[in-house]
Amino acid sequence: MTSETSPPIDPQAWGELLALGGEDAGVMIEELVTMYLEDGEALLQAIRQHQAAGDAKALGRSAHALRSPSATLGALRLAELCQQVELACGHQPEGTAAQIPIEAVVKEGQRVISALQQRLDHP
Amino acid sequence: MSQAALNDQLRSTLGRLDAALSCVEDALALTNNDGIVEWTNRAFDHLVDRPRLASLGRPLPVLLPSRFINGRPDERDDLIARAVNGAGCSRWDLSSIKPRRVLEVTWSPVLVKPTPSLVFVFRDLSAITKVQDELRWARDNLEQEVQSRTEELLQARDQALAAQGAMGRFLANVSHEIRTPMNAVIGMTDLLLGTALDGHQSELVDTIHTSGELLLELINNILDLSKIQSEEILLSTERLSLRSLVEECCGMLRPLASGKGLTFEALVDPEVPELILGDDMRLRQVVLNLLNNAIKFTQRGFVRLSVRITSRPDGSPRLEIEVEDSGPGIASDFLPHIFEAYTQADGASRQVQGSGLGLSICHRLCHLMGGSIEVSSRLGEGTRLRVELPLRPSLPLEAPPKAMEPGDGAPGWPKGGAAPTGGALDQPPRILVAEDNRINQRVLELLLNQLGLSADFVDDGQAAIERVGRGDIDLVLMDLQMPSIDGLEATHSVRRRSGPQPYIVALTALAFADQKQACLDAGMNDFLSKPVRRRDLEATLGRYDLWLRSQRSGGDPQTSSAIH
Repeated sequence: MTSETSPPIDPQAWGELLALGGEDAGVMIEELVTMYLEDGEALLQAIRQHQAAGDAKALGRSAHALRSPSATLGALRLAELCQQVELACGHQPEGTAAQIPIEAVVKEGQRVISALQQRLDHP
Repeated sequence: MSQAALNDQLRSTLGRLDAALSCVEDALALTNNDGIVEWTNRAFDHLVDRPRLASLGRPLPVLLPSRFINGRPDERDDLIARAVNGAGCSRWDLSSIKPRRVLEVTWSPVLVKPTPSLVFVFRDLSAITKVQDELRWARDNLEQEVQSRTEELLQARDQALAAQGAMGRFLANVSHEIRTPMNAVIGMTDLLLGTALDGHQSELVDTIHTSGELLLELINNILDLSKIQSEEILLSTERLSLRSLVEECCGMLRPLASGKGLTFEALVDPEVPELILGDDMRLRQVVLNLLNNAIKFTQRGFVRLSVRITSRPDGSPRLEIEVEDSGPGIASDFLPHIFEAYTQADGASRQVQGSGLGLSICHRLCHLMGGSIEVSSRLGEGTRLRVELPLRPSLPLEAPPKAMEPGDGAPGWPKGGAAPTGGALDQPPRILVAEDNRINQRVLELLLNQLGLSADFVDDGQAAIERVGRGDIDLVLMDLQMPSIDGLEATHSVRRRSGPQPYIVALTALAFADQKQACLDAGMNDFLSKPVRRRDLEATLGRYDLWLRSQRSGGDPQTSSAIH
């Protein structure tokens, strides 16, 4: 369980990721983070659009698509927020997605992206 | 011939015909072409209930009984007209209510010169009709009877099951209520024994203590058996140290044995692996039960526990646990019943207290674990109980250092020679990963590479189904939440197909109990939480390895699913 004060990237999870890379951790991290930054930006954009359009199904899919890799890269708080949105979309009647709050996801998403960008620039 | 003689002959013939026709059961009437009755037989007189003389000269229709059609009077009066036209027959209902009375009427013109006339034959079909009706009714109703009988049986069965279930739940609920005061009694007597008591008091308290423990054991056994019988026991899979388990069990019971002056031995063969996979508590229960029994029933001599590896005829390894004692033995006519619940050999129950449940519980547990238990014994010659279980050696958490040499691949499936765990497959499994997120795919790829494995990757359920369909995949890591066809659906699809079936592991970020059940129902073999950690993946691969070996040595249904 994370809270508002949790760091954007969980240190323990990040440590495990590094351990996965072993000697070539640097290269692996670069590859994964680059992929994530590309996908992440696009998904946050999609989340905003789908919410504005009231498309609960598409919003849920985007939230799910963002949650999975976020957890993998240690962005546990973001993953949790995405899951909340995903679950809310599951219960939402069509066309009412506009009521689902996504500000938290968007904000945290930006934090995570900045944090990862930093690690990329200063490994 | 003279006229007189002809007349005589005629009269004689007529008389004989008349007599003959009157013996016939069917009612006959001869009329002229207008339907006026000219002759009847006895059966007809009976049918219309009047003597012949009263019928002669009357129109036939007037004499006949009223008839009904569809329960209402039949007013038609075309009998004569139809008869004049030609031969025919009909069936009449003479009664509008049950019992049915049916008359079959046959008629024909008699075209004899010079005057045509008519003949009518009436046959009572009431009896046959009644039988036919009864048959038809019985046939129609038989189906209904069978159905209602089946419903009754189903209801009775459901009631019995419900009652059994209710009892099981009652016992489970009540167990805590029972155990708590029992523990209090035992605890209090423990404390009492620690206070200053004179010899006599000490004895009394000792008895209370022993009785309390026996009672608690009895309660536990009954509750356990009820749980086992209602099949609520789920075995867990954990790493356990067999040697530690044996030592601890012996430690608990050695005092009891030495107290009776018995020799107590425990031998674990060196080739028995240190760590195995199994349910620690249940295995302990089996060992304790067997040892306890042996010590209880033996008054002098020894009790010996042996643990060793044996192999089945097909070469697959098994774990063997044997308890031997020099007790009184078991009579041959009781031997077949020894594993039944609530039975004890005559004579034994008076000397030794117990519930007769211990061996029954052992028996059930052994079977639940995919093994078996056997007894051999003869009166006066001691008893030997032998448990045989599938051997599930556990892979150690960290591979021993020597396997980490560079270029050697990774632990589990090194490129050459046997794996350090002592049970490697000859070749690495062909793996398919079905995961829709490219980052997770990459991470899994890296993880697998570290373990010396590679995999194919697909990103949706449909592609997974097709790839498996090509028949060359051994192990699938299946993400549950993929767009369009998800992991569960894809698994259902794969399981429905004929052909070799891969081992399927669910990958999911959520891990609720009902999701696990859905995975089991779909036919999945194991379960991995995302994000995937290396040690979890290793453990999963270890379980796959064991599953594969048990499949190859003849299949062991108990180990086919690692989800417990």
